Amino acid sequence: MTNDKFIVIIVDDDESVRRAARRLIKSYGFPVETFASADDFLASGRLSETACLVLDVQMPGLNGLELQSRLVAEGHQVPIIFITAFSDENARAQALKAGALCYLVKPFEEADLLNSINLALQR
Amino acid sequence: MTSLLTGFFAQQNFIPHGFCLAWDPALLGLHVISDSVIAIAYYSIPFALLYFISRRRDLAFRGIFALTGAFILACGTTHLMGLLTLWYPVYWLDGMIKLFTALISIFTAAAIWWAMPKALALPSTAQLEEANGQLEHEIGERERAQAALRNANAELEQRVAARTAELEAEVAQRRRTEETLRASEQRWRSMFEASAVGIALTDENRRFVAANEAFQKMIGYTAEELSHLGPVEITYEDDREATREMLDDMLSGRRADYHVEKRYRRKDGTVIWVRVSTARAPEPGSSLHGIPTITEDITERKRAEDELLEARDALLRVTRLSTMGELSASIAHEVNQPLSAIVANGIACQRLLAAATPDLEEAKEAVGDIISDGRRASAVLARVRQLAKKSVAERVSVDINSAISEVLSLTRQELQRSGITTRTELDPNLPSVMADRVQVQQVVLNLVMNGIEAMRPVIDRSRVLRVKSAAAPPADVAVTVEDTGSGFGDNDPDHIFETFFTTKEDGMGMGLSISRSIVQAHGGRLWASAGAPVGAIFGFTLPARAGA
Repeated sequence: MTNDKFIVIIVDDDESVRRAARRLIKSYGFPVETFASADDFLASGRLSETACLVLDVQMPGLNGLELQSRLVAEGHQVPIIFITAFSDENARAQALKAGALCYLVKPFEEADLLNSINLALQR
Repeated sequence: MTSLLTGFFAQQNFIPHGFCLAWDPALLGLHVISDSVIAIAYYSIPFALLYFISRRRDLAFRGIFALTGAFILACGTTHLMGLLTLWYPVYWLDGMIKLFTALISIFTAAAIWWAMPKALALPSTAQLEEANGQLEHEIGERERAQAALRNANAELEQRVAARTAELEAEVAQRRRTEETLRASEQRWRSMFEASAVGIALTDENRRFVAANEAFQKMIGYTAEELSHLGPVEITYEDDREATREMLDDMLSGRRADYHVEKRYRRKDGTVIWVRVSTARAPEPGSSLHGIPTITEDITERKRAEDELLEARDALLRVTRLSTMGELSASIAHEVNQPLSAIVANGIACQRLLAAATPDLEEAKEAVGDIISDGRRASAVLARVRQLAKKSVAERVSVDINSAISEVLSLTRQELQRSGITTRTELDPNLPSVMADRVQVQQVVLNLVMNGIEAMRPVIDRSRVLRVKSAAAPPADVAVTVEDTGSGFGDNDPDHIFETFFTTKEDGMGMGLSISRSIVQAHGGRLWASAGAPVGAIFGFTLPARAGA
C-alpha cells in the first residue's frame, strides 16, 4: 500500500446506491470518490490514485466488465470489486477470471464489502 | 080569306102594264129583256152567296149575308113581277111583293149599319198580311230558338254523357285505389303481426298505442297491459332518465330518430338487453300519430359480447403476466437497488451514531435517503402490482408520458443488461388521452420488449431504443418505438400483427396481435415500418381527450 494510491472509487449509475455506498465506506474511514459512469471515471484522471475500484456490472455506456477488460488490456493492476443486482454466473466467472477481487450480489453483507476493501488496500 | 087570296090574284078590271106601253113591241121587248136579265142576275147572286156561305164556315156576319141574299132575291122577284104585270095586271101581288122587298131591304140596311162597327173592326187584309208577316217572323224566331234549344240540349246531353263517363272512370279509379290501399294495409298489418322483431307505437302521452306479438312476448306484457304503460315504465331503472330524455327530444322534434342499446325490465322482473330503433312519423298529416319503434332482443348477443370481453381481458392479463415474467430479473433489480441502498445507509447510520463524536448531520442525511429509497422500492412494487392485477377495463384520463416512463423504469435494467442505450423524446406539452392505463402500458411494454428481442443478435452496431411521444394532428397522440435491430427482412411488416406470427425462437407471437387489438379498442391505430437505415419502427396513436 503506497501513499498515493489510497482512494476507494465507486462507479454506479444509480445515484442513491452511489450515495449509500459512499457513506458506508466513508464511515469506515476510507477516502471515497464516486462516478456515475465508467467514462466519467476514465475522464477524471483518478485512475493512478485508485486503491480499489467498486464497480456496478450493468451500466449505460461502458459497463463494469468492459471497463475491467480495458484496464487489464492497458496493463493497470487495480483491484476491482464487482457489485451487481444480478446473479449472472457467466458474468461472475468472466469477472473473476479477469482478476476481480470479488463479485458481490446485492443486497450483500456489508462485512463482505469491508473485507474485500481491506484486502484490496493491503495489496 | 079566300076572297082576300083570290083578290091578290084577281085581275079584276086593271089594265095590263103593256097597254100603257101601247104594246109597242120594241118597248115591250126592252122591258122584257131588261127585267129578265136583272131577275136572272138577281137570282144568281143569292145562290152565289149561299154557296159562299156554305164553303166559308168561318165567315163573319153570316146573318147579314143571308139577309142580303134574301133582299136580292126579293128584288129579283119584283123585276119578275114587272114582267108579269106587262101582261097580267096583278098589281096587288106586285105591290105586296114590293112591300115584302121594302121590309126586307130596310131590315137588311139597318142590319148592315148595325154591323158596320163590327165589320170595320175586322182586320183588313193588309193588316192580316202584316200580322201574318209578323207571325211568320215570330215563327221563324221561334224555330231558330227551338233549333238553338235543340242544339243546346244536344250539347248538354253530350256533356252529361261525357261527365258521366268521367265520373264512372273516377269511381272505378277510386275503387282500385281503395283496393290497393286495402291490400297494402293488409300487407303491413301482416308484417306488423308476424314480424320477429318487436314493433310498437308510442303516442304523445308516452303510452303504447300498438304493440305486436313479438314485442308483447319480449316484454311479457299483454297489449292491454301495455296500453297503460310507456317506454319509460318498462325500461330498466338505470336507463330510464336517458329514455325519458330521448322521448322528449323525439316528441319536441329535436331529434328525428335514434338507435340505442338499452335494458328493459320484463313483467316477470328479469332484465333484457334490447336494441331500439325509432323514427318520427314522416308527415304531420300522416295517419301515424306518435313514434314507431322497432325493438330487438339482444340479450344473448350482449352476454356473448360480455363473455368475449372477459375472455379478452383474461388473455390480456395472462400475456401481461408472461411478459412481466420475462422481466422478473429486471423488476427484482429495480427493487434491489433501493433496498441495498437502504441497508448500506442503515449500517452507515449506525456507525455514524456509534462514533465517539457522532456526525449527526451525515446521519440525518442518511435517514432521509433511507426514507426516499423505501418509497422508491414501494413505488416499483405498486407499479408491478398494478400491471399484474386483474383489473376491470376502465377509461381514465392518462398522461401518456408518465405511463411510458413507468414502463421504461421497469425495463431499464433489462435494457442495460442487453447493452441497449435508451433515448427518450417525450413531448412535454401532450394532451392527455382517455384510455385504460394498464392496457396502454401493456402495449408500450410489448413494443419495448419487442425492440430488446430484435436487437439481441446485433453485434456489429450500437443497440439503440428510441421512444418518442408527439402530438399527431388533428386529434391524436402518437407513440413510436424505434430499434436498430434486425428489422423485418423479407417479411411484410403487416404480417407481424397476425396472431402466432413470430420470428423469435421462444416467442409466442401474441404480443403484437394483442397490442393491436388494445389500440384498436381505444380507437387508435398500431403500425410497423422499416427503420432507416436499419431496424424497425413501431408506432401507435390514441385519440386525444377532447378539450384536454
